[in-house]
Amino acid sequence: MAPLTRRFSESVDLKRVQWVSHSILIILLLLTIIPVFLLLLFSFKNNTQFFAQRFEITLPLYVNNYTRAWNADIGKYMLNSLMYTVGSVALTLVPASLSAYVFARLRFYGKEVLFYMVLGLLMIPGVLTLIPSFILIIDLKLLSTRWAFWLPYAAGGQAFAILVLRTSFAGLPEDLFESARVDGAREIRIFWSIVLPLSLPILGTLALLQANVIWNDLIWPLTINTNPELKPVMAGLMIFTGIFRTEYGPLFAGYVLASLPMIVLFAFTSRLFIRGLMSGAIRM
Amino acid sequence: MRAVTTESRGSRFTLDGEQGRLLRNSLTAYVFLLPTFALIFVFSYFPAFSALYHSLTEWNGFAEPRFILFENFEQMASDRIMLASLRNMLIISVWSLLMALVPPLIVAELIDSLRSDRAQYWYRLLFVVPIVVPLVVTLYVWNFIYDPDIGLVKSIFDAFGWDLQTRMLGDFNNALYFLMLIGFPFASGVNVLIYLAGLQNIDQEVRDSAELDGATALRRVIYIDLPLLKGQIRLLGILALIGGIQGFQAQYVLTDGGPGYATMVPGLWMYRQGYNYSEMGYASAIGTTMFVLILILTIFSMHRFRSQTEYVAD
Repeated sequence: MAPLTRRFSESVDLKRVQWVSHSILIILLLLTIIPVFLLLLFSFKNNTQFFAQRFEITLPLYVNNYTRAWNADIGKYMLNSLMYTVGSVALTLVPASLSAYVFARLRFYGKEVLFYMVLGLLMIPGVLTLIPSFILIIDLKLLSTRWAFWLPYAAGGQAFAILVLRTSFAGLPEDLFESARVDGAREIRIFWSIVLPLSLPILGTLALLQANVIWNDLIWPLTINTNPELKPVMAGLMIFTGIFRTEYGPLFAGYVLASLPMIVLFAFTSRLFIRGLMSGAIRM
Repeated sequence: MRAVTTESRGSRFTLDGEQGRLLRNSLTAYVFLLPTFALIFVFSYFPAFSALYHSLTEWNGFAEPRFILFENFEQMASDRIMLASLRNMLIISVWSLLMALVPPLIVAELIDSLRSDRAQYWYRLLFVVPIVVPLVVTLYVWNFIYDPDIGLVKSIFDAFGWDLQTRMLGDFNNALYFLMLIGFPFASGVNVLIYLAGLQNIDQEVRDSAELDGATALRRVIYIDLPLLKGQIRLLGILALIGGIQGFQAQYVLTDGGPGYATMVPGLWMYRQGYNYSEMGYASAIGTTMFVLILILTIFSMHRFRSQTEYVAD
């Protein structure tokens, strides 16, 4: 742990310290990356290669592992996930941005109480509501329907989205609103043609975060859906893993496919994502 | 709104004008809020109160619930699997708290100690990349790493000619610890970035002058960095504790709480009681217990850290 005991004044030490920092970081990085590496490595092997030279890069690459995985319903599960993700994100952000707007910009009766009711949602852990929500879905006759994904995900996303959007909307300059109101614009028009266009970046960030949560969720889909045709990809992987229990190439290819949408999303947004996390706003 | 207040100042009908405006505003506001409140009443508040109420009942989810006061909680106190799972939860929570806080801090301090901005950028990016792999996929990859016949751990032992004594996730005595080691070395990218952001917001002159005064880097970390990172530590700590208390995805996918109930946790036990055995009342009681636990811990850590520091944000 040389870097933790260094003195800045001794510059000979400094070079050595930099070198030690690099070595520790590289070792930790390799250990962190190993699972990702194995995932990719195995996805191109057939069983002969897998059992003979498991941890080496082997040729030829069996690219058709991916076709086989896709045809073993991974494709169908991924399309389901896509539908749930897009639908839930839309159903989260439309109500949340309307609510955030009135909390940020209007004075009205009961504002405090209503806002605390939204804030209070943050204190309810998912584990408390899991079983009663399941019963509720049965009672509403929504079991094994797409609405059982869309509506609860939308409800679950409200609190966080409203808090973030309210802060963002409150930061917009008041002049914009005053002149619009003097011109006699109604609130819905101000919201639609002033607030929304100015807030696209924050809406985009929220959409990404919410999409990531929904795409990766496992327990809720397993609880409220028994129809294999409607399974999202994370739940589908359990069936898929059973089918390819002894065929490692297609198995790992399927895992790569299931990760792909998030990898693509991250590739396009990593700058934004890292900047958001580095902004220093994330603390309590 | 500010415009309205200024315009109406001095008018005899101030109150009427403002009240009229407030009324009209309120109507608009309620219409705007309706979709959100419809959603959260039905799908958040109703299930939460349902859980609290039904924790006092015997209920199969369909028939009329029978009110039994605290019997479910008494049953919990003598339920051997519940007690074992509470013990597992305690171990897992402490462990996930430590692993969420310590390794990312070390990585962040190491990256921060580098003088090259380019090198810092690349480490930041590379440490974040693994988070794009979904949790379920990560779990399955670790399931392979642990495979007692063909897995990575077994292969490494074979390569050195050592005899692997344990079947890892299949070993009653050790399964819990192998489950906890999933994610090694715990240098989670997001936590690293959150720490780094905190470190870079600290006034560099304070840190440099401490070092010029002869303080070692270790002393600087303890006496300058850590107190100024309290906001980040509290957030990461609370999230890790909540995750540790209620999470059971790893158990669901890999061990189903077994072998026996070696890796059982209250979340999974609740799920089994409710979903598989239709013991909705008992399941609700387990859920309620964990809710109270999380609530106490959250309030406690908020209060405890707040009273010690003046660097609390917002």
